[in-house]
Amino acid sequence: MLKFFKSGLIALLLIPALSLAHGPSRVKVDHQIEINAPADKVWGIISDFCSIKDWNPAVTACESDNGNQPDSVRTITLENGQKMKEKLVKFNAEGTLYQYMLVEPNVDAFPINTHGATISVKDAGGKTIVEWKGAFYRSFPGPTPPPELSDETAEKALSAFYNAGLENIKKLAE
Amino acid sequence: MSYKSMIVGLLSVCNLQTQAGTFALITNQGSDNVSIIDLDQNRVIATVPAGHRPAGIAVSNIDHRAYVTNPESKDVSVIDIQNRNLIKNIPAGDGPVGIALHPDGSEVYIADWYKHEVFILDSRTLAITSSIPVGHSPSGIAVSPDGLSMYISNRDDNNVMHINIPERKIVATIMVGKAPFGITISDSGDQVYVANVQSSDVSIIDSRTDTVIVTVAVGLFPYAIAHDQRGNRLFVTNQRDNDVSVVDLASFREIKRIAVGEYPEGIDIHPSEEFVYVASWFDDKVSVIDLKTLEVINEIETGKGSRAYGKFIYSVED
Repeated sequence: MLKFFKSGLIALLLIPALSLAHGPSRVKVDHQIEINAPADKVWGIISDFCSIKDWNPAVTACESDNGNQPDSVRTITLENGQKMKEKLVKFNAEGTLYQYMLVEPNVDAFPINTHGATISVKDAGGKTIVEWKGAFYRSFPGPTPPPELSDETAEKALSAFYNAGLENIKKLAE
Repeated sequence: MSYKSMIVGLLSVCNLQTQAGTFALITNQGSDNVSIIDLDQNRVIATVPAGHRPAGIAVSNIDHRAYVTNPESKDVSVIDIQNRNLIKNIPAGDGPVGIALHPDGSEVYIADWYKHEVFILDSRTLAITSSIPVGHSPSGIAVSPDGLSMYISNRDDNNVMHINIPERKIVATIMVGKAPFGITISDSGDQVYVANVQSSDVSIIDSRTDTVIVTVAVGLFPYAIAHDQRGNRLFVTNQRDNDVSVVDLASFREIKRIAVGEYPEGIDIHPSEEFVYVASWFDDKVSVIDLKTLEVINEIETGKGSRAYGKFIYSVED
C-alpha cells in the first residue's frame, strides 16, 4: 500500500499539476457560522488572503506572492508541516468574498486533486454570517481508493479544516 | 372487431406507450436518482432511481429510454422514460462518465474515465458488445447526425479523437486546449465544440478537415456546451464562474454571460430552440434560459447535486 501510495506521489510530481485523472464525482463542502459582531469587523479579520495563518488554527504559516491581487498564490503550511499552494481567483471587497483554488495538490496535506472554494461575509441584521464553501475531487488516480484516500475521508478532513477556521473567526470577532 | 374499434384500440395503445411532451432528465449525484422535469410545466413530475452518484446521461426518443452513467457503482442505468422506472443496471468498466447514443438508437457509447476506452452497448440486447481503446481519461462523446462519426475528448491527453463508427477505427487525433471535457457536435455535423476545463476556452473543430479552426475564451472551468443552430450560438457552462457564456459563431466571440446556479454542469437545448436548460450541481437546480432575451426565466429544484452531463432532453410529438 505504502509503495503504491509513493508511486502515486511520484506520478503526481511528474505529471503537471491537475492534469492527472481525479475522482469522477465532485464533492461538496459547505459550512457557515453566525457571529455576534458587525460584518466589517469580521471581513477585516479574514480579508487578507494570507490572514488564514492568523484565523485558522490548522494553518501555521502563509506566504503570498502578490497579496490580494488577482492570481496571487499563497503557500500555506499546515500543523503537520505539509504545504499547499492556492491561487486567488476572485477578490471582491464590495461583495466581501473571495474565491481561490488549489494549484499544487499535496496528498499528504489533503487527498484532493482540485479544490475551489469561496469564503464570504454577510450582514444579518447586526450579526454576521460567514460561509465557506468549496468543492473538490479526490486525488486517488484509480476507481477504488483505499479508505484513507476516499471521498469521505477527504470530505471529513476538509470539513474539519473549514470548521476550525470558522469557529476561530467567531472567537476572534466576538 | 369493427374497423372503428380497432382504430380506437390502436390509439389507446399508442397513448399508453407514449405520452407526448418534452422532458428534461436530470441526474442527481447526491440523491442517486434522476429527476424527470415536464418542460411544459417546468416542474419535476417523477423521480427514478439510478446507480451510485449518477453523472452522464443520453436519452433516446426512439426507444424512450434514458441511459445513465454511474461512475461510483461502475454501471449504466437504463430507464424507461414513459413508465418512469429503472429497467436495469448494467456493469460498465471502472468509471463510466461520458455517454452518447447513435442517432438511430441502436448503440450507446460509454467513455470509461479509468480504463481509457469507449464501450459499445447494444440497446436491443443491453449487452456491451465491444470496446475501442482511446486516449487517457476519455470524458465526453458526441456522435454526428449521420451516425458515421464519434468524437471523444481525452481529458488527460488534451486531444479529441475522431472515430469512424462503422469501422470502429480512430481516423484522426486533434490537439485542443487543456483538459477537454464536454463535447458537442453541430446539428449539421460540420463543427465540433469542446470545452477545455483548465485553459478556460472552447476549441471549435471543422469536422471536414478535423482541424481546430478557432479557440474562443470563455469563463472559468468550462464544462459542457449546447449548440443553438437557429441562433448560430453556443451556450457554455462555466463551473467556477457560476454562469453560462454565450458564444456567437459568426464572430467566434463570447457575447454575453448569464448568471445561473453554482457549478453549472449539464446544458441542453429545447427542440423548439426557444430555451436552454442548465443543471447547477452545487445548488441542486435547473435554470431555464430564454433564448430570445438571454435571461433566466425560471428555476426548478431537483435532487441533490444535479449534473445532467450529456443530451438530457427527451421529446415526443403528439
